[in-house]
Amino acid sequence: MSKPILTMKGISKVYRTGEMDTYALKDINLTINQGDFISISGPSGCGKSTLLSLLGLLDVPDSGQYFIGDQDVSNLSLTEAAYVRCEKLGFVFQSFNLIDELSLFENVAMPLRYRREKLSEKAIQEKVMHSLSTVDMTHRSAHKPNQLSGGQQQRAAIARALVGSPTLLLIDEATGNLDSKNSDQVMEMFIRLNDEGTTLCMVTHDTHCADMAKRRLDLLDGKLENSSIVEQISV
Amino acid sequence: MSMIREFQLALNSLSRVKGYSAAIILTLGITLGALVAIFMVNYQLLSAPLPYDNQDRLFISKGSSFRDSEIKLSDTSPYPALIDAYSFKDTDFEKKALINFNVDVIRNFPASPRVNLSYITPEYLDMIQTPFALGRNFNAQEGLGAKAPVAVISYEAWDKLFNKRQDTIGQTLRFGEVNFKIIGVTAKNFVEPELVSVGRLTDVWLAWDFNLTEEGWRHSWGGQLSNHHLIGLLKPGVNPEQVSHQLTSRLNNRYRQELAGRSFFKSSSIDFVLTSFREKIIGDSYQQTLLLFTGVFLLLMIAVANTMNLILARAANRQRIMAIQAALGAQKSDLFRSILIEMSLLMSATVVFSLVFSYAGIDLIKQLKLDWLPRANELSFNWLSIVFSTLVSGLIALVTTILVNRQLDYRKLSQMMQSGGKGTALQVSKKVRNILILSQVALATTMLCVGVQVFHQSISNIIQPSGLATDNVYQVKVDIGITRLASTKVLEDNLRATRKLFTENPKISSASIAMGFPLSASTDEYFFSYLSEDAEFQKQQQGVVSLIDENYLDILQFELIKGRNFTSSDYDNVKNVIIINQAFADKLAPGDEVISKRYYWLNAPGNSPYEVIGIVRDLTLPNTEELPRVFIPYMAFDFPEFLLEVLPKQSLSAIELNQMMAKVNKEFKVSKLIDIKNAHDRLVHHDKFLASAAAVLTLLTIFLASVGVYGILTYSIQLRRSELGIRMAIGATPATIYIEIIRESFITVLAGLAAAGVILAGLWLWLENTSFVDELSVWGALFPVLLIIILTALASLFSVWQIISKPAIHSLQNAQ
Repeated sequence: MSKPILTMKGISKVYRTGEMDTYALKDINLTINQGDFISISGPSGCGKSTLLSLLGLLDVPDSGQYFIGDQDVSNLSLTEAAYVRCEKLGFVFQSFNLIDELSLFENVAMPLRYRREKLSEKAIQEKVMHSLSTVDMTHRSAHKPNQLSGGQQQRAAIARALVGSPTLLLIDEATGNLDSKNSDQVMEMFIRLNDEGTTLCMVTHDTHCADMAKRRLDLLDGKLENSSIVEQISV
Repeated sequence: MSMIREFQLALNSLSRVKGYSAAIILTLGITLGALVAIFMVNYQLLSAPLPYDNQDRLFISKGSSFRDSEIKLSDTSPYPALIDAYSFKDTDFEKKALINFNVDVIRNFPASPRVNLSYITPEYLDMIQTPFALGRNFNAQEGLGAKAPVAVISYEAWDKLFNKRQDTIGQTLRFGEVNFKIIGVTAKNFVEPELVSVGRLTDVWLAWDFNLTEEGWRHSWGGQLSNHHLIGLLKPGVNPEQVSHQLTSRLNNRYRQELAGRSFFKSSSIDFVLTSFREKIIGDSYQQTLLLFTGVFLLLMIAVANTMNLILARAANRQRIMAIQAALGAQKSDLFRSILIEMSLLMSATVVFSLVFSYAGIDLIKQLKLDWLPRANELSFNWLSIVFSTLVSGLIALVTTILVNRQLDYRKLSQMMQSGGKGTALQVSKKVRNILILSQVALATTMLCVGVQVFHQSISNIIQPSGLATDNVYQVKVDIGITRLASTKVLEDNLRATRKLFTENPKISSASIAMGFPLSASTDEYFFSYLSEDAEFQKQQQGVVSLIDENYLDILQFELIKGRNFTSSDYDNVKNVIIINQAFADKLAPGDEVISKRYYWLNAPGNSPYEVIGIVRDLTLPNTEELPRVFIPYMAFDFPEFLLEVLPKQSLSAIELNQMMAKVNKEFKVSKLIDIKNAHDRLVHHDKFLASAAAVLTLLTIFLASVGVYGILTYSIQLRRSELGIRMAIGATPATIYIEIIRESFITVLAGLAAAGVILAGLWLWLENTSFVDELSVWGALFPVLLIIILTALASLFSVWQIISKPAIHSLQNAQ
């Protein structure tokens, strides 16, 4: 059996508006193992993005425990959380979130420059070019994001997510802003990356995309309802 | 839409953003108010005509004496030369008058009040169209040589001395031995020209014949008198320089004729220059007020840059409303007008606020009675203040509206509604934001550098020890009345008895008879004379003489650095010994031992030289270079003074001193009682004002610059919120984000500091020709730079705090 790389126990997230509490996530238990490709789907407002934010340490839970490997990351400081994000997690966003003022090379190099242990420029150069070659974008390294098509921008965003060899790649509606042809290409890329050993967790409302994952989880009203392969993913 | 309706809409809109409106009205109102007040001061000095008809034809003489073509005495004239100039029938003058400024005590009043006197010929008050509240001016029969004992008093003196009694005309004032009959009281609205010094106004005008010049000096062409002048109203079209030249030529010829054969005056000459009233009154005081104007103007510019930032931020927030207006057919000119109307409303409120503030400012300036600011009593809040404030506000409204309008992309604005309100038609470019920060930093650094330098210099002057005891010491000037007609023996006995009486008073610990105090208000009060190695005075050196007894140096705590102090025997026996200060020692014998050397004194009662028995340390009086001083044990008979050291927490009044002196001689009256501490404080009065003004300007600058830089950075960071969110999402720590923000801000800040350097270099080129800055302090330059760097670091931290203090998702949500 594969080694668990991420474990959530009884995680809840509440949004407070005045005196009213709204549970975005309630008592989530989730384990992701090395080599998994999980999709989390559900209707709008079910808590998909909130769950992804907690998984990616972009936000903090109100209760529960969260481990990445053996490290308890439930209550990290903002700085510690940033280092964990930088060194262990990779993000792919729906709207690509590339920085317009920077070239593709600099966009991809950014997570490496934020690391606690600084890399040499040569090492950065090698890693960035390798990552860009993974998504077939080396020839565009000097271009600015606004000089690229949507599909190319998303591939560049995937290169940025992969450049630090993350333990887990978190994907948020990665095909939401793409046409069907580009969507298929991106999904094929995720499957290839998973085949090569990268662990992926994808949030999507597109059932077609969700079905392309090895494991599918459904989220409804902040609760994980079922899993298509329950024997591998404990809920 | 009617204009009124547009104004109503703008007013409604502004009433919903009270904080925004208040911030603009307050910052611009305060700075503009200060600018209006300083503008009025500058107008008064540089442009406002003097309140006399023919003010451009009114001149006062300024005489000088030269030896070997080198100026020896400035602003002095021989008495007979003035009489000659006044009496000579020439065609260039419409009117001429003589004037002598002095002070004296009114002897027929119980408190023997000391008043400012002007001895004049009858033409003077006519020339300046003096209005009268009561009585009349001197007439032709009361002119030169008539010896008419008549007096005109000022409105203030009428109030002070007679409580505005209507029967004042015909009352008498006794000066010396003469009773003067009051014939007139000047009107309240009469503005006397400040021809002697700032704020010096005449209480009583007396006929010229009674001026206190001794008989010998009245006929001496060799004597030079200060405070005696010829006043002239030139005929229209007459060139004053030509008249000065003719006067100098004629009087100099007469001077040489009169002094022919006297070797001392062999290479001497005099000149006689006519100076306009305006030049005499204003002097170079406008340089300081112009500097203040520049400072406050820079402050206003900082406030304008702040306002620009607020307006741009508001315009960015209102672009959806403007997009709807554009979609409904509003042209760019309509949008311009709507912004201009809103700005006009804000500026109208700013004008009102600034006028209230400037009214208070002008009143404060008048109350302060600054001794370097002439014509302050004429300052007023008037239509010019309103026009200036309105014009500047209008200009600010127009410029800011044009700049905002230039940032507005009308094409994008029109398209916004078609794309469901997405996109932006007004996003202040990075270049504009950087220009705003750069200008803020450049202006603020310039202001801070100047402010800190001025503050540092002023405080140094204020706290610098003078080397003189100033606590519990009084200087008492004594008017001896008709005792001056008595023998020197009687006078000497009277003065010694008075000193003894003073020392027996339980309040007084020590007393000294002296003449010549180091803290005199003006050099006119100093007794300048010469010491020379040779009896012919070929190697003479000028110094200030103090005639003192053996207690004087001890009471004032002069530090003896060589030799010894006077003994009572030196004083009682009028020994030919002197003590000099280090400055005089350096002049008399540069690099040589001066103790025991002998020097001749020009005014010595005999022909024997004086031996130097001691050297005292130079004083370090604020804003004055130490003069060479010589102390001589000799009694001053005509104008004696006492120095009285009182016990701690004791004070003296003129009345009690008069009572004490009356036991010795009823003619002895206090003519001036000076608390030395107050005299010293007067020397730093200007520094105190400068330190306060610099402190206020510096604090205002720090406040405005902080708010301004913070505002711009906050706006910039808001625009970058999503980008920063992305950076945080992919692993940037809060510290990394903060350092990145600082690094980017500092590039602009460094450019601003460089721009400030250029401005300051230009300012320095101007200032080095003025008396404002004696020396530059390194701290004065470094402190503002450090302060700006710290302010930027803090402003960056506060601006980015909302982002870096929260989990990354808060910023990232903007990016999604």
